[in-house]
Amino acid sequence: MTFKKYSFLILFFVVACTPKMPMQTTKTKLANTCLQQLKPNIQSVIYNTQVNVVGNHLSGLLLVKKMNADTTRILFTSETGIKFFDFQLTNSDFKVMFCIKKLNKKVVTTQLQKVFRLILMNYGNVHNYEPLATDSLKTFRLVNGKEFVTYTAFNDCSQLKHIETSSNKNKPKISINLDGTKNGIADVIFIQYHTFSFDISLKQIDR
Amino acid sequence: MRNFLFLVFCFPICVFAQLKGYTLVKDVPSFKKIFAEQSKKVNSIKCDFVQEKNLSVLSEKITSKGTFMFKKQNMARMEYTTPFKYLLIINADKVFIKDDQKSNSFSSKNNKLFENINKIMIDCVQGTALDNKNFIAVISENEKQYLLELVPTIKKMKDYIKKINIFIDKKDFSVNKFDMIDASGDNTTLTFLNKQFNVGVTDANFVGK
Repeated sequence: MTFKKYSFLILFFVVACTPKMPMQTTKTKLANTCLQQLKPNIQSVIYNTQVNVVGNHLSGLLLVKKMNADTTRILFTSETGIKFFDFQLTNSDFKVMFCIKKLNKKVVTTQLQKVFRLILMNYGNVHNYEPLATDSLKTFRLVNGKEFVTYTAFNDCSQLKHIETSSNKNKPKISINLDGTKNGIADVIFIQYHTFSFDISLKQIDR
Repeated sequence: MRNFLFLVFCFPICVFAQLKGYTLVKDVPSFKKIFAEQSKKVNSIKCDFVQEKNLSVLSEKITSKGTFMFKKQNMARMEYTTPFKYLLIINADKVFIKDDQKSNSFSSKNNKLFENINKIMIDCVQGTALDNKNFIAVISENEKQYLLELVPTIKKMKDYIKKINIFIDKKDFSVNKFDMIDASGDNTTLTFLNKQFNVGVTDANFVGK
């Protein structure tokens, strides 16, 4: 074969074998832009917190603090100062810095991690959220295996209203209602589990 | 008494590192006697408090304020007013808690940790903290205050509390400050202000509604 034919063959294989980057649709680009706008932008906030779990009631203060671009610390203490847990969350990692024995069980910390990631919008890849067609609100959905995660916001992407996880049969598992914005994050948050009796109410306190 | 003193002075230095400006009290029995005598004169206390929760790793401080009441023998009331509402009433072994959402009554006998914290709080106020067998105590002083450093001996308390420092005013032997250092090294400080003794506190203040 001549050099020219070799070149053509090489060029052919290079082009054929180069993995093609998927083209982002306009819809996905718009979804990314809106979701980025809605992402909490906090320094440090404190929520007055009420927890009801399988007939037990617990209250306290939840501190959420951004340590750097990638790391958030989340602490829960009683009103009288007794610390219940201290978690460290990054994009790729979750670490229990401190936790009282009663709460330091994998099933508990896994669920709490999930809830905090959903609220901080650090759950799944933002590029994989697809917009759904709705009339007055913007809704974005992520399909994560057998789980659907949806974020619903006002049309102008100014405020997040609702977060939900559900099974592929549309049965809700976790619902999170959000209201108002203060200090870069929702002012009031209500988290409800539908698979067992567990809810958390959060209301920001002024410092 | 000798055994008690032996235990106190041989406890690991890392826990009882002497606070700057304080020296060990030489005559512990005299101190205990005066402390108990002064406390007998107080039937009730009413004051304001400022609570500071220091989270050292995060360089954060959570400050709250409220009012505190105590009545002999074993009634205490802590009412947080800012920045959140929270009420804690201890009446003998009955505990009443009211937060933003719910109120709840229970017996402290069903919760050992609560019972022990309850006891040390009341012991501090009525001058019997040094007789509490759940703690080892070291007593030191400076010009204006005595410092009682209490380290828990029971495991359940140690999971939550590393040490309690109680600062006692030399003028009237009342508690100025209560500093609780938790197992992770953070601390919660309660500073008592505008103290009034033996005035305006009735049993009705310790009924949960």
